[in-house]
Amino acid sequence: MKHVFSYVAGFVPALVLAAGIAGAAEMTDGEKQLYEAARKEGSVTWYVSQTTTEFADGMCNLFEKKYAGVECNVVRASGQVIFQRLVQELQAKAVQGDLMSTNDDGQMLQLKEQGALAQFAPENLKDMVPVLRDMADKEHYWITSGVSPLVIAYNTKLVTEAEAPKNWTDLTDPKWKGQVAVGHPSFSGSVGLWTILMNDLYGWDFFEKLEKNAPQIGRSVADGHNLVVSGERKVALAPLPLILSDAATKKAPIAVVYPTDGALLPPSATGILKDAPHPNAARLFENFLLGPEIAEYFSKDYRYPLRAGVPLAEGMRPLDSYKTRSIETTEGISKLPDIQEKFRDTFGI
Amino acid sequence: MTSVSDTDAMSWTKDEPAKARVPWHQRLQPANLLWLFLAGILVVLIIAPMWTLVISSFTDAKTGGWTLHNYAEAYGKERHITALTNTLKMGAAVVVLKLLFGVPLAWACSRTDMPGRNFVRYSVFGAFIMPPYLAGVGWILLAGPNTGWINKIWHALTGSTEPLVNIFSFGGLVLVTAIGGFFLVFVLVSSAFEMISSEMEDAANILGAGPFKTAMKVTFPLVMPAIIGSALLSFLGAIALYGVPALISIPARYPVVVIQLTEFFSFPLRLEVAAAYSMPLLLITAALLGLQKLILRRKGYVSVSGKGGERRIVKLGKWRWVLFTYCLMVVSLAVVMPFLVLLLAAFSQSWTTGFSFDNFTFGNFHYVLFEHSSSRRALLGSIGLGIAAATVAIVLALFIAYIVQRRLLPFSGVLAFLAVSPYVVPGIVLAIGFYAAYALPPVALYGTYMIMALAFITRFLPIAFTTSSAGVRSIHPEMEEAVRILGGGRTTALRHVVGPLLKRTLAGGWLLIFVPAAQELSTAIFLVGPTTRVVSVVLLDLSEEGELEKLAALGSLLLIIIVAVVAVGMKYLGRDFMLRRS
Amino acid sequence: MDGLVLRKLGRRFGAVDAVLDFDLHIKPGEFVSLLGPSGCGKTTTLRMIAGFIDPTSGSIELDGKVLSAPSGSVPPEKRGMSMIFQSYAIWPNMTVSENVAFGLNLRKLPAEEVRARVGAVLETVRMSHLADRYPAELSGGQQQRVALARAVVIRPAVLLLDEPLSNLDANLREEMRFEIKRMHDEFRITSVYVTHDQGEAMVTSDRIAVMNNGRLEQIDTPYALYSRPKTRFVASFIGRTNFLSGIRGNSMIDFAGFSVPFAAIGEEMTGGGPITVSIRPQAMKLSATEMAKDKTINLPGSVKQSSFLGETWDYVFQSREGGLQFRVAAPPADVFPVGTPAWLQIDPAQIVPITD
Ligand SMILES: Nc1ncnc2c1ncn2[C@@H]1O[C@H](COP(=O)(O)OP(=O)(O)O)[C@@H](O)[C@H]1O
Ligand SMILES: [Mg+2]
Repeated sequence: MKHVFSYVAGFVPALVLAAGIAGAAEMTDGEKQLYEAARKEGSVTWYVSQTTTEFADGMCNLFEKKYAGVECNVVRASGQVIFQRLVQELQAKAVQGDLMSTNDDGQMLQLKEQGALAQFAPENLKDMVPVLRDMADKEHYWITSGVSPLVIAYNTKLVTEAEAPKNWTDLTDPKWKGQVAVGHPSFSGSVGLWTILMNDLYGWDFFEKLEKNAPQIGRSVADGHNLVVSGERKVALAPLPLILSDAATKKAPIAVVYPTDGALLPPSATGILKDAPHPNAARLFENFLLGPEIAEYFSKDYRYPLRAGVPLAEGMRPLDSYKTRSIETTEGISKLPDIQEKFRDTFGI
Repeated sequence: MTSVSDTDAMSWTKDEPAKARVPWHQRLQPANLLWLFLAGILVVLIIAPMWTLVISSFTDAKTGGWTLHNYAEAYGKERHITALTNTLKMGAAVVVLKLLFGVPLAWACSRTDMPGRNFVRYSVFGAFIMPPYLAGVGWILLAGPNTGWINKIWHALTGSTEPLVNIFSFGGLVLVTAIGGFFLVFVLVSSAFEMISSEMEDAANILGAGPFKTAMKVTFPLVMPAIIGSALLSFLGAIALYGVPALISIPARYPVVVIQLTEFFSFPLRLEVAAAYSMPLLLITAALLGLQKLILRRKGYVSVSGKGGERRIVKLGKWRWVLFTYCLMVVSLAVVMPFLVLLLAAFSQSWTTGFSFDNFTFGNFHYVLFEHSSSRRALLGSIGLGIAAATVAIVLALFIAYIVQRRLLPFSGVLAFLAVSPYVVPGIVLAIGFYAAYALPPVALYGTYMIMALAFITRFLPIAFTTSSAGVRSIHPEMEEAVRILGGGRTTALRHVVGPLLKRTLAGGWLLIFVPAAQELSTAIFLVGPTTRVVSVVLLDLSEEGELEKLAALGSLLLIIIVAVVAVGMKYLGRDFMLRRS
Repeated sequence: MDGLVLRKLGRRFGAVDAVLDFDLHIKPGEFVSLLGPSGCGKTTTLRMIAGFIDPTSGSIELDGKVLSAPSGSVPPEKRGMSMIFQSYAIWPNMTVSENVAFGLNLRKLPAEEVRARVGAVLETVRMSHLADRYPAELSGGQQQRVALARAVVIRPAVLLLDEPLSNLDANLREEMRFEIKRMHDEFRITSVYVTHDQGEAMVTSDRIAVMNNGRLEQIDTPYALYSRPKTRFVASFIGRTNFLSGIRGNSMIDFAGFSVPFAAIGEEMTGGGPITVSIRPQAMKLSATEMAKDKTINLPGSVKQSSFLGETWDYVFQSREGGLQFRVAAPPADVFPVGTPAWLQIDPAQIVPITD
């Protein structure tokens, strides 16, 4: 969490604001009620694939600080893995998670259709950036809990800005042979959506060509930026915030390419499970995700804050300043199984 | 008291003794219930999961009816078949490499005057303590195609930009798998070497064979059974291992069975197909062990017998340095190099930067100890599960070995067979069986430590049983009968006499279980719940996020704890406990 | 009925009857040996008494209470007996006094009493000074004493001993025989002692049960067994003897060359049929001349073989009429070179008819 503190200087005003809120402990009545009930439940278990473990741990710590007496347990894995776990638990009728955050809102829709989600409209919805708020479920089965565009990362020591790829199809250029890293759509939720997007844009041909470049295939989307930083690979598919925060806080040799054919914008979604063992703690937590502390925390770590009026981190481009693309939720669900199978066939793994 | 005592008053020669009866409450021995209870536990631990596994492979997931569809789905794809054949190829290559590593080292350490024998022994022992997936991470740091240390040095030396070695390849997979398990070859073959008396070799010498010829014609044939046995175990270990393929075979795009199994275990969960797909592993294992029995039963392989005579070491002359260099190379590949880079990475901000003051940090340890959400609990969980599994397995095995050796139940032989049978079940398959039998309702052990503990106990029961039953066999039955005639039951005898007498044997077996159990990944991977993660699984997750420095730190902590436990054990048992055959 | 009673006791292993139709009544405080060659079923019998083996027929009772029957048995730990094993079975993980105290502790006696009784019994077996030693630090004889102390300290209802001395060397064996005898005289514990060594059995026992092929041949005092064996097996197993075949007449037994009246033998007998008798070498005497004594049988003949055994001469005498051969024991002073004519005198009271 050192990056949290090293960037304090740039955000003094926001920090003061946040401290004021936390210090005053001015909770709304609804929040107070939830807090009381959550304290009785004692803890909340949060299944998360939306962020890295480290970042999720940080969010949990903020929550525990604000709501003393409610323990926050992070269970982090890649998107498909954590979803599979949850489905397993639903089958076993032994649900252990209270709420889940994922980069693949298609998972939320499937859970909703299974009747596994609970409806909840957190108070803090009113303060959200309207565009982001509207990406969520209209019936409040899930909220939008983040947006992390998938972009291209490159190693600035090994690749000049001019050499760097400009768009997705550049990744199939033979000059990147042995130098690309991507995730696996069967493990990572957002890579699943990215695979659908590439197929929609360029047909399966894109992957046939990519395969010739012998990309390193990781399980999670979260290791691409590490491979680029270490120089193991020159370019990789990676989530924007991880690249920006590596570059800024760790002074790592990594930079972003916003692909001209459109970054993938998977809205991250968080929903509460109907059979959550700690339903009130889950609600309190979901509301907290939309609160000022998290907006602050997001912004400091080069993520797009969910609340209106919270400034972006330095060097971060507003979402509407570059081209983004999304996959329709229902489309994602229907296309994913085939795409995963095709990917396995093409890449042999 | 009974009608019998009334007739006593009459002439005792005219009694009909057949009618004499002892009242049931006097005959009752509470221990008999215990034996039955223990037999019941074996059913729970072994028969139920395996039975469920086989049954579910023929069960339609939706209707619950009988079907062959799961097999069609499991084997109906070329990719799935490729994974099977890949696995066999990989297993065969691993066996060759393990033998190339293990046999010469065993010979060098037990029969020659090579220098540094103890160093080699300790290093091989290090390979036992180092979990395969940590060695795998070490090798990723060493031989990652672009930034691995070996390649960087190569690039610096030659100016080349092509990698010299690439860990993400078939060769890499084979190498890392082999170094993670060749200690077993070493242990088994060493003890065989130590049982050959020099007289047999002398006999060949007298007939005119030189030292080399003697080794080839006499010595090696005599250790052949040990070599064959360890080759089989190596093969089985290699095809069932999960951690190394998880790290290497996905980037290497070399699918193997265990990885394919995780696909069936991902969304949508196809438990029944996974069960069907795990049948070959089970059958191959059973078939190979059967084959081993068959080979060893043939004449000519029987001569390595107990005592042996005096053993002389072979004087190698200047060849001793050649051999030493080879041994050094093997232990560097297997232990020294991966361990050093791991340690370096654990104290680095970025492992690629190399060793410098700027790069040095305790931050990774701080992170895994105080910041990471699950690593502290996982450390406790792993150690706790290791302790629990080792303790329960040893106690359970002691009782079973006792029942078997003393023939306390009819069909004791079946109990013995059951206790060693998990041996043929690869960890990952065992986990699927346990999942199918106990994770879901009505038992609903999903997400508990209990289900993992049960699976671990089962997995390591064969080691525990072989250790305990050798121990019980060494105790004269009169030792216990002396307890019983003085008024103690069988359980008193076990507690006050058999147990204490076997303390050292059992403690040695305990360590042999604790070490792998605290590191176990294959069995854990499908059984961990959200709050019951173990270190091996957390390490794998860290590798997935590419956090290799933090992974190295957590891995080092696990190693430190295990080494500490082993060190205490060795102080108590003497360092030889590993070399005793289990 | 008081004491230990075996009724028609039998034990079958597969097709082999290790013990069959064994009847025995041991009175309280009595010391009885089971004597017989290896494999005759002694251990099996003893272990049935202990409760380690269930009988396949018959029963075992102690003081009127059934302990063992084919339908089930009281387990050893509930019999209140103790046993001394061939291997001693001293627990190596406990000191001498812990070994001895074990049975007392199982009975939950107060610590004070345990200490006192352990001290006293160790005194009796002269092991007090070694109370804190571990068994590995003791000699074989000392271990045997510990086993003895451990067994008697609980004042068992029955003490069972299975060849306790067979692992000791000859001198110690001699000494321990008397030790066991002394302990029995002191504590008067009903004891069953298994051995294949008649010397041991003779020294220690009130009565000896001779076993053969799983069956009881004869049970008697040591003297009676020697002087009045009932079967060919007993006569030849206990000491050495001469067997003679004869035919029973109306009032005499006719042997080749001489006859003996029934009355002289001192046993009731009816006439008719063949008969075998046993005559101990010590029941006869060699002399150079005929001794005309009342009732003594005098047979002329000559010495065929002689060997000097140190304490006695061992002669083979052949009678002139009938050509019967006798082994005769004679004191060292009675020297008869081979070939010398001599007279054999037989005490008819020591001629014992036996069954085959
Ligand atoms: N457990 C057994 N199974 C089969 N046969 C046995 C067993 N125990 C004893 N026997 C047989 O019973 C007979 C008597 O044995 P045992 O009582 O040990 O003789 P002893 O103690 O007089 O030497 C022997 O023929 C022996 O082989
Ligand atoms: Mg015997």
